[in-house]
Amino acid sequence: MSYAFEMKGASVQVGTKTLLHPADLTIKAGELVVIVGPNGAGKSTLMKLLTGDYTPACGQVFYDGETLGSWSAGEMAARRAVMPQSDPLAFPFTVFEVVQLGARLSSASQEEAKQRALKALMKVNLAGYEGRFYQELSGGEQQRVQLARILCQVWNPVADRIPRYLFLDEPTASLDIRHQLGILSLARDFVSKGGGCFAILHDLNLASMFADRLLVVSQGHIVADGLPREILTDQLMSEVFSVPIRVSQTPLTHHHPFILPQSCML
Amino acid sequence: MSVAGLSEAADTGKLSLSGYIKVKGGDRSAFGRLAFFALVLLLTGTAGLSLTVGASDLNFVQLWSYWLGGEDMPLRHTVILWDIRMPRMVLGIMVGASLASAGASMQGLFRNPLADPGIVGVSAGAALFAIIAIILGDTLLSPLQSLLGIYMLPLFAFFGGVFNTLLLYIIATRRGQTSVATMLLAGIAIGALMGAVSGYLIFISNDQQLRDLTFWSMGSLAGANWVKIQSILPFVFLALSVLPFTAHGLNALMLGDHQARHMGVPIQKLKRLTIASIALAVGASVAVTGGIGFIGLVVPHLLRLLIGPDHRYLLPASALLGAVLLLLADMVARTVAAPASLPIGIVMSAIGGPFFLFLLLRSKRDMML
Repeated sequence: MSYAFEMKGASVQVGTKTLLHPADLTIKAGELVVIVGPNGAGKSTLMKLLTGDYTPACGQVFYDGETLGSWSAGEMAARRAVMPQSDPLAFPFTVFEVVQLGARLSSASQEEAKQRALKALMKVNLAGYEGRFYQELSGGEQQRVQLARILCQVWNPVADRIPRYLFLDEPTASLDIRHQLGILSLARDFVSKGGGCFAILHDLNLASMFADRLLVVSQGHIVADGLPREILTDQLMSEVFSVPIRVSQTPLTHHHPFILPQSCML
Repeated sequence: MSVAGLSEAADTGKLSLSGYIKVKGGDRSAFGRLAFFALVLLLTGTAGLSLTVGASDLNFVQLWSYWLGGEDMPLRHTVILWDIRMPRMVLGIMVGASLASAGASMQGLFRNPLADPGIVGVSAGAALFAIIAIILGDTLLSPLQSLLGIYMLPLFAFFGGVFNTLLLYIIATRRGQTSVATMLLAGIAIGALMGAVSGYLIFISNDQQLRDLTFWSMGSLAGANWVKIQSILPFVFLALSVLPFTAHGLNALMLGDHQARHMGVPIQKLKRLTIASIALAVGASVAVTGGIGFIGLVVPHLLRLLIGPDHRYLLPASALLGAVLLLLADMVARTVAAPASLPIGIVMSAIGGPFFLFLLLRSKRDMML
């Protein structure tokens, strides 16, 4: 599979604790892949394995047919950008400077980098925030700044016929509903133009609405992998989240499964 | 500053934003460029001025008349200018630039505005080895002493700095990953150990050795000569020309190790390069001038307020301002107690200590409000 991320029997172990049991997985461009699962199930571990933060304890992780380790940091940076969960910043950089850090990598000139940074801030609805210090922003605003930064890093979803990927670890965690939808629409748009996206979400309804493919991780295992409609069932969800869950369906043609917390009372 | 406090600051990166200049549009690079040119001018002026200040009667007016009036300089003045003041100025610039830019890059590497070669033990290692050279030079190490002559002390200090940095680096590196917090804490522990060994050596030293030690440990530019300059020039030149190449990587590192790598920075290589350059710059400086504190702490801090933390501008600006500050301190050192010359370490500590306290208290006040 060209330009895909592949795990073959890869597992993650820290000390004697196995965070992720050996698993096979292929992530290709052109689909928005979303992982869901309970806290501590190994979602972030899975993402960190794919981005090279963890080296597999057994098995291998490949990108474009070569092991991750054989790609340099620079080569990988040109092909995928990673949005971390939370990001304390050591010194007072301005919003513009943070976004610029991503833009400088992928732009031909300083001027282009600047324009790109400004456009990215517009995309995440933070135009006018350039001169603010990153530290004085709210959690949700900081998250959007980080998203703008990684959008700058892989500006075009496809470059030289090579698709690029976004790895998003809970990109909507501290956002209001407007920005949750806004950011996932950006990801959706990136994928529809040929890029790839791998996102961890906690909100099952957002996952149902935006995912092309849904992965369920539980206790260090990938327990399900398929269309949201196939995955979001009463039985599987109740089992994985250990709470009785009733899945409903939106009417009309979309058939988005949705879950009301009210239906999950013990 | 407690150990826990330091590591917490390193982990959380909490800091006060007061005093930082705001720019509309958030792009401070024009500030950085402007500061660079202003500092070049300032350094030129300060360097020129430092040639005219000293214990002898060779003053500004006198020099001016030699220069423009075409008057022949008497031999005494030629010697003072070329063999005393000129090497002192050149050494001051080299050491000031080294210490300040080493401080700036160490703070970037450790993501902590309080990190300093002094704290991490580079200076402690250099000092211990220098003390060993002074105390054991006549007895245990006398064959080495006769071989190395006057270079014994600077060489020992230099290798002490490099040795300690390497030791810390090895302790803090596991499976190819260097933990900055471990390095910081291990630096404090090893610093204490080296302090104990130094203390013991001082305890068994004789009177003459004690005098040498005291003078050396207070730090001074007084012994500056062309030979010393020559002996550290390659190291300082190498360190200062490598550091600018770490700037982009250090900027990315502000987001964290993983994030920097995701952005394409080869972090392990970056850390090695930065640590080696710091050890070179600081080891060489400590070797010739002894311990001069605070420059690595105060200079980058001041500049960050003015031009922001972007290392592409911060590193060169720190080198320049560090040189200026050390020259100014040296001018004070050689005039306040003229004709004697005060160790510059005393002057720097007298200025730097209160200044640093002021910065800390101010940021504490802001945090409470």
